[in-house]
Amino acid sequence: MAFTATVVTPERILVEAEVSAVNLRTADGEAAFLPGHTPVIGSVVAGLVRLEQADGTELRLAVHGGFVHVENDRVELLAPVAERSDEIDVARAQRAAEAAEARIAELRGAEAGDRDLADAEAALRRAQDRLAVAGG
Amino acid sequence: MPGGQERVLRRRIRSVRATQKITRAMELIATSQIARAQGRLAVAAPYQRGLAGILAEAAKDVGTHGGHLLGVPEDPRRVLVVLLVADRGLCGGYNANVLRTVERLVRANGSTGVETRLVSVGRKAPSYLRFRGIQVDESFIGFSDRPAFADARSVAAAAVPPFLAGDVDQVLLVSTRFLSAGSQVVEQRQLLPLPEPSGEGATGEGPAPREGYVEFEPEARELLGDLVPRYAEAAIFGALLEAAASEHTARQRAMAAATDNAEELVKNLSRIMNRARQDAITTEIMEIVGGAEALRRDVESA
Repeated sequence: MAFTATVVTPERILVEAEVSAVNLRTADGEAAFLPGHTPVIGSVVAGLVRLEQADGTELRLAVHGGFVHVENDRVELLAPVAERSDEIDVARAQRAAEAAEARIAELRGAEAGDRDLADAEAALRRAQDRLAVAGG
Repeated sequence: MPGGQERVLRRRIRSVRATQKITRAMELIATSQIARAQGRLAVAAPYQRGLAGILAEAAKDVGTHGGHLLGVPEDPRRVLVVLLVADRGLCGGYNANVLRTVERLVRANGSTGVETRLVSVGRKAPSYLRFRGIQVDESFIGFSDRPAFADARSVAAAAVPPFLAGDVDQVLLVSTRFLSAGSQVVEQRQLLPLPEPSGEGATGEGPAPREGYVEFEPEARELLGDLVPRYAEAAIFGALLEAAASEHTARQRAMAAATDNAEELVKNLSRIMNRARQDAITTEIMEIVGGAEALRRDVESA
């Protein structure tokens, strides 16, 4: 049994595939969507999303927030930013993580505004999510 | 000095021709940009539609308990206006149409005591508004012709938090809608609170028919809170893309008119120049004939 999963971002449709299961994290915790799931609308927590495709292979995605809408045997994932694991530039994510760590350390020392610190922490989380997804 | 006039005209024709080359190049560039902008608009549509569908479901679930996040405020006292114009001119009335609408809005609000804050996109906005004594609180430049989603997020970051914090009652968006290649209009619409889906055009089509209820994780009211910034940034992104497509269309039209006008100018100037040249030749012949005539008379009388 397969159903359609689409991953949509504002700048492209990232994935449109026949899948047998979708694994992600919503605000209420880990969730797996299988065929015939009841309608759900949930907000997605940034991190790894795994799509088990009908042919048995697994697609790994990094999503940075968004929403999931399950209905009529369709899973639609709407994310402001998302990428496939094979698109992630590991070296770049590594550098971004290091830069964000350095910035957090610097801001903690300087007692800067909360907004800057939150930005840096968000950047670190994004980089870590990317690394985790790319790492397999 | 007839020869002098001819030279002056020749130089003007050459300069008009050079300008024409530039306007034609700009016209061609704008034409290719329109196609690209339309493509980006089409690609962005599914995301926005998806969010609108979620909003419709969530709004239905919370009913009248949406609080200040949904619906139209009855008497907004503090309004934030996001306006979108171009970074560059040479696009006909594109910038002026939006800016005039904003100026009218600000003046009308001023007379009824409504406090108005402005967030602008496009280099052309701050100079126009400041010159007219209207303060711009935050302005973004550098991406009006090719907005990326990250740009929309930074604009949203300036417009959404004041609303969530309760500093403003309403967020309006004034921009040019790209209805079709032949029709673009300036429109003022409400960005926040989120539009009631029962109102016009929020979703396109209604929610799909289904058995049973939709589950919300987290519950709909909380989800609505998450949805507000996402929906706003998607709406701003859509508006930015439409504005960009409109800008390129307006520029293409303006440059086509300028190219045609240059053509006309060259035609008229050439006509004047030819007449001047002919006049000069006629005068010269008259002088020669006159001279010869005088000589002959001298010979005959001798």
